[in-house]
Amino acid sequence: MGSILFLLSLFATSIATGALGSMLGLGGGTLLVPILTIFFGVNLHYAMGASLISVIATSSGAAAGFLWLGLSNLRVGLFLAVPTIIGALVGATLVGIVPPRVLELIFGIAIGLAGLITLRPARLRGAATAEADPLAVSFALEGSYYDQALGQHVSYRATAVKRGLGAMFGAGFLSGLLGIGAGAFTVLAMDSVLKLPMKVSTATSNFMIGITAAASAGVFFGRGDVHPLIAGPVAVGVLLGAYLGTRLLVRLTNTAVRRLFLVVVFYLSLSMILRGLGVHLW
Amino acid sequence: MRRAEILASRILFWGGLLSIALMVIGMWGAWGAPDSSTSPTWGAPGAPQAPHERAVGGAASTLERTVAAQPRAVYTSVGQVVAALAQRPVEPLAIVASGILLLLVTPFASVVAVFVVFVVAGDRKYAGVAAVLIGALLVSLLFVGRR
Repeated sequence: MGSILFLLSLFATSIATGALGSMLGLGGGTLLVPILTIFFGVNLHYAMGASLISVIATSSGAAAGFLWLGLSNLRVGLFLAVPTIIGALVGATLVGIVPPRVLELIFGIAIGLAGLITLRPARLRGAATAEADPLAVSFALEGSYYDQALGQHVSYRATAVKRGLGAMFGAGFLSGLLGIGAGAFTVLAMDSVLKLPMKVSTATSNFMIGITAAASAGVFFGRGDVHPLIAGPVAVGVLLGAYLGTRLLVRLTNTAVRRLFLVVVFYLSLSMILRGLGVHLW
Repeated sequence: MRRAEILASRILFWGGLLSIALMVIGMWGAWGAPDSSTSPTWGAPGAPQAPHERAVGGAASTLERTVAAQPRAVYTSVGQVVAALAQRPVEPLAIVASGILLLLVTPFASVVAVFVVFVVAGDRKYAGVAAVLIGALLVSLLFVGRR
């Protein structure tokens, strides 16, 4: 395969991954790392570096829109980004120490878990009537938005904030360690621990994962793990793919998307776990 | 609050767009560069070499040949990228790297802008939260600026 053909196939794969990631709600980066590693034979560290850059690119685009629409809760995002970034910095620093096979094993398990998380039913309403958490009151971790699907204003306030902070540290740690956005984990924490409505969780998570990925990417860049010839085509491709994916999503049925999701995620998860155990399918 | 959201939104949008434009311009130049599969530049003595250049992997030989045609494979600091941009002709990979760096600082810039809005509005609590975030991001950027 010639150089230009290789880079074009990398670009085309990134478009497909971005489209698939956005349709599945998993983000392009989570799928990209195993695909680059398994099918392109790209070094795991370069794949993770490229993935983080693509996460910042897609997050910047999506977060800009959600902030403009007022769907992202800026205060909640900033507050929760603190433990997430600290976790990400710890995780990103450990990447240089943890052996690649262990990283592949952890990645395989994490992507499988992210898949299971994404398949669970969404919370449409918040927990405005739940018992007030002192931290949520003190830091005004609350808000409201107009939900077109429900045809009414939805008010919400975060609950169990301390547990939420711990969960965010964990999500940030995985993001830094594995070079992914870890949006599935931050959304899970916001939904099941902080009891925020799904739309607010998704929109706020988009803002947060950009900041978190930027913190991790700084460490990766300084270590020489961000290769311009890989990260460039991947970032542009994933961004383009994410845009196409959102357009394509409306034409597909939920069942079709879920079937596709199950096949892709669990195949990649199993492949990475096997690679971590020293078994190469490809 | 709404002002902070709109300001952050604009910074993320324009920062993201500009950085992607730089990457596309740089890749266009890099792909147009001659493919010198026999070039010894990759890690050759005297050639500028990042400490963490490594074999890319299976399909790597193709990528390595492409990279070998470039004066530098991987940049690890702002200084290296700026120095490469100052050279004539400009290295296409340095333009891609500058786009990556711009993308890296875009979320940071949005947090700085939000911090200023909170300070002006007298919201000390969230100005403090934003300040902690800026501190954490600065720690990350130190990795980029240390060489």
